[in-house]
Amino acid sequence: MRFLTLTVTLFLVMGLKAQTYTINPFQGGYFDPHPSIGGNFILNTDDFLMSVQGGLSDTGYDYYVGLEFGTRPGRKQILVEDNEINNLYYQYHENINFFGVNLEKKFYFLGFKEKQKVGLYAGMRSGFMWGNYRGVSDYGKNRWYISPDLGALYTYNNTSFKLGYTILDIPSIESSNFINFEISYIFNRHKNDD
Amino acid sequence: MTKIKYFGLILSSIFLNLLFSACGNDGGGGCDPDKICYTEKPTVLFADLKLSTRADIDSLRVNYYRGNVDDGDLLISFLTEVSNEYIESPVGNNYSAEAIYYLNDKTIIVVDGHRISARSFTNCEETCWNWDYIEFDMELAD
Repeated sequence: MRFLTLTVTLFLVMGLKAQTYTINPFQGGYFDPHPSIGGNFILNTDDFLMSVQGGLSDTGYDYYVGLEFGTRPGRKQILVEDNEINNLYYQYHENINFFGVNLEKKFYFLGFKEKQKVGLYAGMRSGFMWGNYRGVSDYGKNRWYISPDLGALYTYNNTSFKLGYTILDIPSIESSNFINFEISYIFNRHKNDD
Repeated sequence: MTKIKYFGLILSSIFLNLLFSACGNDGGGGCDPDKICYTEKPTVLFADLKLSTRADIDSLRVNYYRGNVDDGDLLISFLTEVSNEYIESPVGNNYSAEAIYYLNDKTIIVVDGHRISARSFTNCEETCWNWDYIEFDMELAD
């Protein structure tokens, strides 16, 4: 929660201090891809995942495509009900990982002095999720996943901060609603890019 | 505006630290003359099975395997009422355990597993071996 509070405070302070101008998020652009890297915290009250990603950010049309590897740091104790025998449960130490593709479109609508922009983003993760239980050879819950993602975006020069809502279906977790916090960096972006 | 760059760097640093925190090691180098150093390499270590002793447990059975619980070799099986059981285990193998808790209205099987191996670290240019018990978390979750 400290990260979120700090990010929101930074948004507000910089917004008050700087001159603002509006941006049409649907204006035409040009294809201008740059390599970028990022890291995500994906969390809710039941679970916490982290991921790293790398790909291409098109700063002209504000698209992003990349690969992402994520994991649950540490293991989580979970309770699994037996499918065949009533009142029989298994308690495991579970770890999960995922690897997939990220697609994203950014919609900037407000700009500030000194290369700051605010907007919204919409994205989609898709890939393969696998895991294991400590002390057990058969996991049985490996699966393909699709995870939509939506939220707010703040960019300063080459660095972006995102705070959004994502749906990620993890079989052992009751809720599939997660908060996503991301920090990313675009390499070799032109000095005069907006 | 350089503040935000520092903020980004700090966040990235925290992120990477968290991500790789699970990949710890026993350290290497340094010198602490007060640190206890066992120079003999262990051939067996003790698995420390941590168990629940709640009042609503009717009985508790522990099964200990070399390998995994679903495809390993059962080494020992016993009933117990204590909160810790110690099982001598030759190093260099994977071990797993299941604690079968028979409660009033249900049965819960708690499973855990570890690789038990000899681990060393260097202290004052001497190789020291870790003889710590290997903890198996077999307690019932709340």
